[in-house]
Amino acid sequence: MRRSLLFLRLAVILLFLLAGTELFLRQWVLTPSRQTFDPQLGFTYLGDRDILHTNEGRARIRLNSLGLNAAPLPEIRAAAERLPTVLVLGDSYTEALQVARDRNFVSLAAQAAELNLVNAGRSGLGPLHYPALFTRLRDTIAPDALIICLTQGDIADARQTPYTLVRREGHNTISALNLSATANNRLRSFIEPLIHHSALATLMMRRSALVIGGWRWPWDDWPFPNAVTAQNRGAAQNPGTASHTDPQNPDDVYSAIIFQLAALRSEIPTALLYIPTFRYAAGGVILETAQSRRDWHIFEAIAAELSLPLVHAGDAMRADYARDHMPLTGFRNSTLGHGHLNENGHRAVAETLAAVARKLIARP
Amino acid sequence: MIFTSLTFIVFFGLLLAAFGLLRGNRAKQNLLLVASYLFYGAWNPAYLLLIAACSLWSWGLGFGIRHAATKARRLCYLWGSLGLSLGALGYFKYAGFFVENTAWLLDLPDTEPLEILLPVGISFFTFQAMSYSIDLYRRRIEPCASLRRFLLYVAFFPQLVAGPIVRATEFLPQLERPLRLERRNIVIGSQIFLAGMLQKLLIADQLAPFVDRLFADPLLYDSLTLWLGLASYTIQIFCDFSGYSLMAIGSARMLGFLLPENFRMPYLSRSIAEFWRRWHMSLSFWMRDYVYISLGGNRVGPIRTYINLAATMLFTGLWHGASWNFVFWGAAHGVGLIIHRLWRQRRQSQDKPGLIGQSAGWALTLLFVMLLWIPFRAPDFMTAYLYLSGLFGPSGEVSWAPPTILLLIAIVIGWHLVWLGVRVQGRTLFPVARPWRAVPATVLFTAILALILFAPIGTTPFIYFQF
Repeated sequence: MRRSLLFLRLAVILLFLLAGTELFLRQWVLTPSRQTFDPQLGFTYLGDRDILHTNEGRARIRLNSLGLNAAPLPEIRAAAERLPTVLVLGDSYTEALQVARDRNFVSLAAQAAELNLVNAGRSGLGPLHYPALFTRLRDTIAPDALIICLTQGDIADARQTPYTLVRREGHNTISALNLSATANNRLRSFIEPLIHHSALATLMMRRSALVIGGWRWPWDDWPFPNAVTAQNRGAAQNPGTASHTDPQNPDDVYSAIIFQLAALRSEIPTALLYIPTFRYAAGGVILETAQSRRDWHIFEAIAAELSLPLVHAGDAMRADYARDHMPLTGFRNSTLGHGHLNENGHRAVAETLAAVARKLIARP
Repeated sequence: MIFTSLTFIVFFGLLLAAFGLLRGNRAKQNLLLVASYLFYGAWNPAYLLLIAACSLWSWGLGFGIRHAATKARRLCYLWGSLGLSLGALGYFKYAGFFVENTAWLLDLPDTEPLEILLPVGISFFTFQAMSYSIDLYRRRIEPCASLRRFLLYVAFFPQLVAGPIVRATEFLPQLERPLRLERRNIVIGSQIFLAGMLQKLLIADQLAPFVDRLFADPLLYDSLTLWLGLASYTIQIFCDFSGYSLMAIGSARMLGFLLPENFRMPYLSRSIAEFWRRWHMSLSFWMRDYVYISLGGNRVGPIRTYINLAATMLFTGLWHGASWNFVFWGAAHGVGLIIHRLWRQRRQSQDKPGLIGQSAGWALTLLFVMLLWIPFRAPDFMTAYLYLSGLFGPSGEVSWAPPTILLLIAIVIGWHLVWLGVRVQGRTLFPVARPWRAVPATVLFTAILALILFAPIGTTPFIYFQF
């Protein structure tokens, strides 16, 4: 009897603690998962939900019915009647969950350029995904032009994206590119619905995934440390990647990116905007990272091959840092100078985006 | 294998189970010895030879130290015994530093730097072996008859890689009594271990990225941010090392062993001398007993006493690593101790200082200790200088005060104030006798939940592993 009472008391304490933690997390840390499995894009967001982002900065954003960090659909359509509409595709830099919606570079550029810019950025996506995303939004948003925001790491991400290239028989030319879900995303299709109603479950699941993903057996290093390299482990964890495309063959990835961008160009006037990554030093000194420069040169070559306009946002960013001496990435609650664009960064990129959008719309 | 890793938790769980199932002290000691060598070998098996050689050498020559007929022979055996430990320490830890500085002095710019992989914990296990030899020489202990017990004393895994530095007089007698798993030890030990984990994962590791950024480029940030960074590092190094010590003490306690306390709220010290009685106590007492007293201590006249103090602190600085930063850090602490000693001797009144005097002493001590963490943490003198000048002079423009950092600093200040107010003398976080009562259970569940939800993913090495 005493033992049962003890367990009952412990259970009650635990229950209250879990409920309190759930409330605390929802208020201060994160909302329950808003993601839902998507076989092509990995995941998409559920529409008309709030999403709280606190890893970098702190912003609570209402996603529209399409799951985008953009104005509600009726507002987009109303604006489209007055102004030319430009769809802006990109990754988490464009999605910008770290800052309030009216402070991200798409919103700021829309005001500056007096255009109806629609933010369709989504974290985890890259050039290989954009045609699939564009196809889904084309009819609903009916854009007049398209701007694709590219960032450092897009090339590396493309190498990790599982896809199949279909080539014409007897030719080396590509006729189609089929995206497929990673094993990780397939697993998420079962798990995500379970955690849609609990911030605690969402956080636990996200952390478990990191722990399991980073798990190393004690004998991994045997007989000497670092015998198993990170690259080997990565390859072992993503066997699907190797079966679809040879990650060691960069030409294959470049061909795939060219194929996807060409598909977009054939449908709609398109321009590319490159958002570089910088290192920030004292006295207003700003240096573009080596990887950022490398990726820029690759995109420069791709844009030249497709005759696509490509603009580097670095000049405005450099000018902003030289003026204010405040890093354009990172937040007070993360690491200044690292990570996603902060409000200064969005302000600087917005100038370039507005110019690109105006030019694109003005083109005959 | 790091205490905060899942691998260690699994390893320790299996070890506890096996320890409970085995019968007889000899079998349990064998198990602990194998486990300790596995623990160390998981990092680099080649260096198991080093730890075994150091242990065997000290154990073998220990009989010579004890039984030699004359004092001169005993001294020979002692230096022979210390020779291997000091030689290993000198080669692995200081050879590169020596070559680099000699090349600089002789202007030999083409000299290749030595690339020697520093064995983890070498400063700790060699000091344990040396304390055994010196205690034998001073006839404070009898030689350990059992090789197994001596190997276990040197290699006992909880304190093997980062202390506390355990004396033979403290550890070997514990192997004589029956070893068994006891519920009380498990409860107390796990609470101490959990407290260490909280310090390491929820305080030290959360502060680390902020501190790293500031020390990477101090010119970028304004004075206030640099002061915040200094306060953060002051807390980080304490919670990192104190956390490790608590985890070592806790895991040893679960197995039934008592390890010495290593930290006693050092930042509440009211003088630099008191600080060294509360900070890394096992090292500072080791230095006092085996270096300071060996040099004559305070019984050789005032001037020699000051020289002994300075030399001891210089060794303490050098113990932390082969770098001029550590030498400077140790020397500055030595100067601080000398000034404090001079001031104490000249002070007329023998009364305890009043509240204002104590508060002033505390503030000065804390400021002194904090400022000296700058050369300790900075990668080189130039960075240390830039950081220091940024604190007091012209600085950068970036202002950065992450809310999490402010919250953690407030939590640590609150914890110290509570300790100061309540004067908790026990070593456990929760009441031991009834850990499942409502308040302790809530605190316990909250601590575990906080670790699950907010501890950084992946293992971060402890700062003192590099020493």
